[in-house]
Amino acid sequence: MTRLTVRPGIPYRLGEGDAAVALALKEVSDDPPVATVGVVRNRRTVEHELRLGDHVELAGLAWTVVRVEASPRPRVDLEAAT
Amino acid sequence: MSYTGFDVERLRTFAVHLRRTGSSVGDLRRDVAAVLDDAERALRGRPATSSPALRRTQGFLPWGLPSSLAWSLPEVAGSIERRCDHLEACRVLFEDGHHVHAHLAFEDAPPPDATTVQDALDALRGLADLDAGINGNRDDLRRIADLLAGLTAAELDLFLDDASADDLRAFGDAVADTSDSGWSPFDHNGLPVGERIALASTLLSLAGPTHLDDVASAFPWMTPGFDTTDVFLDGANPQTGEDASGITYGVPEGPLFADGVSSTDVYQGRLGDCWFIASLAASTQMDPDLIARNIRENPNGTISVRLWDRDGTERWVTMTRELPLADDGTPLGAHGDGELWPAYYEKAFALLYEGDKGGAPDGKDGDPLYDRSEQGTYGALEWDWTEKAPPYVSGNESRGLDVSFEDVQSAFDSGSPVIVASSDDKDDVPEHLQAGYFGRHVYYVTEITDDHVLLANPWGDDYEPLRLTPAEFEAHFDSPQAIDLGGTP
Repeated sequence: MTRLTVRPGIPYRLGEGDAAVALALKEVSDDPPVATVGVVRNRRTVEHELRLGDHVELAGLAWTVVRVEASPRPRVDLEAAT
Repeated sequence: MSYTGFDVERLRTFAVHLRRTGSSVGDLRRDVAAVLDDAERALRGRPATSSPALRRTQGFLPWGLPSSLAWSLPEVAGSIERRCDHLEACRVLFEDGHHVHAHLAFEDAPPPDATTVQDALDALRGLADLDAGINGNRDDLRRIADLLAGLTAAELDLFLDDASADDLRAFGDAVADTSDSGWSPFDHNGLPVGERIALASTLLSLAGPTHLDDVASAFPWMTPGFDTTDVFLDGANPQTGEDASGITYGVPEGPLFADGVSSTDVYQGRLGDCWFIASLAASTQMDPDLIARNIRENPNGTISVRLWDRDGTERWVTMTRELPLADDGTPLGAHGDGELWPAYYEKAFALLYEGDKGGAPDGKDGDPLYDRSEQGTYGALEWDWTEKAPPYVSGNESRGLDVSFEDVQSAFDSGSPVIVASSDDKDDVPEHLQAGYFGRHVYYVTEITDDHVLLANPWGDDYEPLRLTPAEFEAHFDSPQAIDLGGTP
């Protein structure tokens, strides 16, 4: 199991070669817990809204959203089976 | 030990020949020029040669070959003679039982002096019995520091042969301890940050291969910690504090430079230091030679980066090649597109930066784990303001600009790199900008015309620059700073 904590202000590069993407946190709210992330592939950024339990494919891996918090400090945690 | 391969007499003879050849170059140049002049007269003024090198021999101010040999050959000869003097002094010391590492024996430096080395050893050993007096120990430490900084590489090698690890570590701890005893207003202890980093850097850059680790161990604060960074804290088990981040110090694979220097080589890693990375990338874009002038690899493998300290004093910060690495072995922080120079720039900045006043990501204000003033760590680089990094990068204060498109355009067009922060809230950002817009982030200007500005993201070339109209720029960005590279030598 791989766990990734995504914080604001930091780019997260995942995967290699054609599968590579970069992920960054844009916004988080607590009520309801929803996060907006920007996923960059081939220099184009696409926004995704993530909620608890959502599944998202990034860099060839299936990730599950396991934590979304705006306070006390914004974060989104993803887990992938490796 | 023997000095096989160095025949000093033959080398000295060679130097004499070089000097003699250099002094006869003027005759050679005049002869060549005379032949060309005669030929041109015979050709009724038409050029006698199409070779630029030969044409340069004519005229009142000849330059290039062979004229340049008149000063370059004596320079080489001088270097050979100084190296021979140095080698012979090492041989005398060897016969007296002192051993200079072979890599350092043929240096172009003054001959090593055993008395100088002994003075430095005595001063170091005297540290334990030092009565610093009411004015603290700074003046005494400076005296020792001056002795150490004055050693040549060979003398430092001799010094480190005899200095004990405990004495070195005690000295390293003393210079880093600037705490005040509290009972004297004149109490000055340790050495200021820029000064002690300059001293340690000098020693790290000169140490021979057998003693480099000794110097690094004496000054552990020359390895900036990462255990207060968000990425490390996120990886630590909150109950046990045990690290699960996978971050370790190690030597990454890859060259310092590949394919020249470009701002698109700069990628922010997993540290929240966009305010520094944007300043670095913006300066690189405006003056790529700045980087080539400000980084050097030393013969012992260490790397030196030139920055300016809090007081504006130029400092060459020398580091071992170790960097904090993620669990896949790649640099945790800044990096390039297969090259490492941004990572060492960031490490040097982590060592020298003194402007951290605390500050924390949203929701952690006042939390002592995140919101604390630090110096000499990667944690000190996370979350700061646009005006803080430029003086360290360029040696000059940056100029705060109004949030005015015209002012930014004027600054950029006059040769100043410009960085700018995005506003907090992206909700009001036009739809076409939203995907590439990240709030509370620092970008840098890469292009500006009368009708648009391009802002690059210091996260790297993966991210397409934002293209904004003047109105969009003024509505959604603030805190622009014009970096002053003007006086940067």
